[in-house]
Amino acid sequence: MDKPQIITHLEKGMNHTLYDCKWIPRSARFVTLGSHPRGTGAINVFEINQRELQLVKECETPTSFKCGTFAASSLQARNLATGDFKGKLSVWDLENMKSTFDVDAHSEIINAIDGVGGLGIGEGAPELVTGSRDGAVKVWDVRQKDAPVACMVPEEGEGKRDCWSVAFGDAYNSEERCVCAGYDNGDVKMFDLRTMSLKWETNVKNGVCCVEFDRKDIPKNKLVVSSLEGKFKVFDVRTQHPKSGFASLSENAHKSTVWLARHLPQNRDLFMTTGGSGSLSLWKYEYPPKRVKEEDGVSKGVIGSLQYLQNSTISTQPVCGLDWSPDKLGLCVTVAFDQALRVLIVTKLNRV
Amino acid sequence: MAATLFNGTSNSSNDITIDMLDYQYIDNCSNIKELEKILRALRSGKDGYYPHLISHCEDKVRGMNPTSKALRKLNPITRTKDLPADEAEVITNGIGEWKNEIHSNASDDQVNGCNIPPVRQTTTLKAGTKSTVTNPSSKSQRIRSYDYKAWDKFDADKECENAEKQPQEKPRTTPTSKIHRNKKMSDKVDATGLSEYEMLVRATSEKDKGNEAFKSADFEAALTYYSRSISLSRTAASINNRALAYIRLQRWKEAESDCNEVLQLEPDNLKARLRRATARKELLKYIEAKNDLSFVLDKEPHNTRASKILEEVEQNLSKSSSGDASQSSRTGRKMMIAEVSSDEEETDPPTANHCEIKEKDVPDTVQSEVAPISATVNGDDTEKVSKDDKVGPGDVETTFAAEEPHVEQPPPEMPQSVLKIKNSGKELFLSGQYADAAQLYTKALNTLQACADKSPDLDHSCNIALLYNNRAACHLKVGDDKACIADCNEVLILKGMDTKALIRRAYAFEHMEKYQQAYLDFRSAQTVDWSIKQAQDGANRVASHLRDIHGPKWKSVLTGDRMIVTQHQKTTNSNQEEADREKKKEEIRRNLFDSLKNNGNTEVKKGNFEKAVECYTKSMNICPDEIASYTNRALCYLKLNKPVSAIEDCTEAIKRDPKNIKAMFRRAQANKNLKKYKQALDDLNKVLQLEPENKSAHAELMVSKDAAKKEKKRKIIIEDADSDEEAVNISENNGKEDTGKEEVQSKLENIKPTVELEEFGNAWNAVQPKHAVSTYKMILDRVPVKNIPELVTNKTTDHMIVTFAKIARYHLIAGVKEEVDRAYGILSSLSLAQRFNMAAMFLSKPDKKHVSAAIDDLEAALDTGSFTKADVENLRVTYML
Repeated sequence: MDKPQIITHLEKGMNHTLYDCKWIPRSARFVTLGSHPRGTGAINVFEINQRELQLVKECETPTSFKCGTFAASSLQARNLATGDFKGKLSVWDLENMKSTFDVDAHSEIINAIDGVGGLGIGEGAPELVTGSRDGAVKVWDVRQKDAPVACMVPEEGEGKRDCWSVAFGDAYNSEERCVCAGYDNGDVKMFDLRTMSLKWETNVKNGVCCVEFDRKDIPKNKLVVSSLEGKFKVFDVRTQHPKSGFASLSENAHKSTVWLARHLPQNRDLFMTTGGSGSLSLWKYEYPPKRVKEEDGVSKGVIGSLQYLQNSTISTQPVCGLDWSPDKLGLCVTVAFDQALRVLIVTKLNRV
Repeated sequence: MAATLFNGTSNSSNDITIDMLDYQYIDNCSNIKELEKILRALRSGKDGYYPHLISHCEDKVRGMNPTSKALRKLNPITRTKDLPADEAEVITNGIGEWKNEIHSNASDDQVNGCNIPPVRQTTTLKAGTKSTVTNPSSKSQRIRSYDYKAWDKFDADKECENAEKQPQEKPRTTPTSKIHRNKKMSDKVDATGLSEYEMLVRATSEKDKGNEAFKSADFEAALTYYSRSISLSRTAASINNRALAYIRLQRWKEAESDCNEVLQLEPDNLKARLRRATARKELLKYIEAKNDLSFVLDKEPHNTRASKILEEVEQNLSKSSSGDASQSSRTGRKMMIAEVSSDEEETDPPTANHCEIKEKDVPDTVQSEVAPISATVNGDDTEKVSKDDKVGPGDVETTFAAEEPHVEQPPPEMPQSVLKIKNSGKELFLSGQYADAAQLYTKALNTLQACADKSPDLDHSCNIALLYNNRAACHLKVGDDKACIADCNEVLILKGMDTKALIRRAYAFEHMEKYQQAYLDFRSAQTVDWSIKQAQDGANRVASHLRDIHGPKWKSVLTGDRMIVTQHQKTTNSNQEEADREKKKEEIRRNLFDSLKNNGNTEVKKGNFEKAVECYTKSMNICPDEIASYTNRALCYLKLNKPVSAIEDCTEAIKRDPKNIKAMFRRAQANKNLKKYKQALDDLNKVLQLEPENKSAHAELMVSKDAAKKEKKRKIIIEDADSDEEAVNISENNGKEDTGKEEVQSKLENIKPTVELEEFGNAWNAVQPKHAVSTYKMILDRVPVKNIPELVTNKTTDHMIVTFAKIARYHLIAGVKEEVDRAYGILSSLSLAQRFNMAAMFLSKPDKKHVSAAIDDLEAALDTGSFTKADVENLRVTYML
């Protein structure tokens, strides 16, 4: 069988809770973010050696970390941007473990962070976006310290919703850029940063745990929205119909919360979802023969189908962090609430 | 507690009852939903745990819907250490290598100073929740029915106005998506501040994006991404991909120039060649396209795409050379259609160059072989059939006579005096006085020439050509080759493509040992009319001479025979009609050949190797140069255990294509069956040289080596056959035959002639597929009749009975006494086996039919066999028919 295999290559148990993990670009190292039992933050850098994981650096900070990203950093600097439990956004120089940028971005925990414009991915200025429990979604430029460059906040007087996930996309030239945000009530909103407008919104009924574009640096193509109750949706965001919006499909997986959906950097049509029961599923999106159809003179998107490629149950606890290596096809690192991190290899990805 | 448990059961499995959890019920169930429910119920284990039933049910569901969600099973964690050592090694090493590689690249010099756009102006969008006032595109808020306060404020008039305004507003939102669509990505990537390694990485990622876009059929985008990748790093791969994108967008010029560049970088890139050929074909550069294609076919003779395009190109090529008038239409395909239809309108072309000529030296068998072909032509082309009917299966004498009748038909009648002379010339020719006949024909010619001079309005060219042709025949018979060629040339000038003249000239050339010209003439005659056996035989014969003289590259000596053929046509005959007909015939011949070959292939699949041999023989007559029919027939001979014929065919195939792996492989098998291990090993080694990965060849090589070593006392364990060999390389056997079967068979042949009990059972069970009667026959052939009952022991099954009956029928086909007796012996001794009665009792209806057919055949062969009618009747009774 030429099916991809999900193989757990290395495992390591930790003495603190892990929330997120990210590969350091152009290296065999990755960083994990988490929280010590006493409420302090933990940044650890690991390097993979052939048969073991080696802790290269560790650092304890005053506040627990929730999320991080390298996506707005240059390839030379490779600075990690983090969001913590108290709403602070920091950028770290991992060489000497010092923060180069600090801002109290939100009044409550930053649930999600994403970046664009760095690492050669996405045209235009490097920017960060954060989503927080305070209901705001803020876009940051590290050259401007005190205030966000864009802010999407709930209308005054309206009940604020907990923003659980954010993602950049559509950054195919220096002007275009959009941010997608998912909220605890199932709302998904897509903001156009060029026109500063709400481009599209929908509700997927369950809290949105993760939104991700298949690629950030192309005209927006597909969006995966994962949610509670074991469901996720794939939207074809290429063609927007004035009335019905984007075409979509819905898929059940994991029989519990779908925590994450992460696209393979080398192939946008493959992605992994992680489940609340510690399972991973690998999916492949297949395009329909024609992606657009004309309906009363207005073009409307046509959704394709999903192929279920493989799964593996690697833990008993939710897998809350997963990151594909941008450099090595099929290599990824995961962290789960069982306080363990795992380096996985998915084989035969170039053959599907 | 018990109550909830009970409820749980009845609720969850709703309409699934206990009696549904049953093999038979599952087998008969055709409702996929229900099956999935049954599967879930089974898996829940509430009614007990039945692992086999579960897997049975899974199989059934998989058979109906392989992507069914019910089949999704959660896999446990797989660790590297759980993997087989070699796989684990691959993974560990892969990561190690990657790590080293990344380390060496990490020490890049720090380049800075990218031109980053300025910081965005700070803005705030208040659209966090449902209220979307700031957003003009969102739907206006609907007032809920219970929201009385809101309804109080509702101003119907104002809303009406708004409603009218809205359609005007709407377009403002949709264009935003359009504007951004139109705004193109730049074709270049800003590479300032990137190190070399980074540029390479970026280029790869842009190429990946291009591939993705290509896969989603977005060729424009793919083009942009490839261009971006190329702007960063000019690699052959991305340029090649861009060429393909251009082709998809039908921008042939750019595609060609891209391919040129790729080929500059990698001259042996076959994909680029193929793509350039495609582009060139569309650019009407046929000759260049042809060169590219022949390059590809040189390297990869079995590239079907290349040969397909080549066919099209050649069609266009001959068209463009024959009819400049039709040049105006743009694409090749259209041209072809137009011309074919025009050809059909012209109904019946002049009969002059049909295939009636049959020289006396043509053997009878030719005739009888032509006849069945004409029968198969039926559906293809009515014109052809009528022509073939004329030829008929009759003897040589009548066909030769048939040469003359049509002579009288041409429009301007021959003057009486000429006709008289000509007829007497014909009589002399038939009686064998060729020199005298030639003289008479010369006289007739002179008279006719004079008549023609007298009355120039009558076109006597046809008649003159005929006379020349006849005289050429006489000259040929006499042995005056030069005169013959001169006469044939006259005919060809007057009448264009006349097959008779062509063939005669070819013969003359052949006599003079001018094989190249002879070959070309034979081939042109063949292309005019495929059914001329003489032309085919002649071409083959001359080709073999040429091969002897010039070695395997003799074709290049001809400087592309086909081209000359077409040019030749052009010079001798600019008549377009002629070319069209030729093309059509070529096409018909192709079709016929294909259909015959396919027939053969289906027969092979069915196991009727005799019939398959017939089909392939026919197809061989049509296209003697097509290797496939030789190799396929060789396979059939192998199956029929006629290794000598198989070797002959393979040798023939190898002559035509010295690198034909299939042919070599089969010859090796045949040689092995003949115990000529040395030759077999030679062939196998050649195969492995050409295709080092050929698994079946490896396996065969091992077997042959073993066999060669311990030829005398060897025992092969048949179980081997169903281990590795079943997974043998499919490309080798074209997906037509089951190599596994071949393997088993060839091994069986090497086993010593008598069989022990255990061996027989093993061999019998190892046979795959179960309907391969010939394989079974081979096993049984080694068993003396009297031993059958003890070998079969108590394992008699209905399948065995039927197979025995089939084998008996095989023996009966031969019609020889021993064979017939053996057939009877097989059937009668099988009936003495243990448990035979039991098995016979449970024969199904179709099975019974087989058996009774065998016994009927036995009865029919009573005369040859040494058994009585009573014996046969007895047999019928024991087989309970």
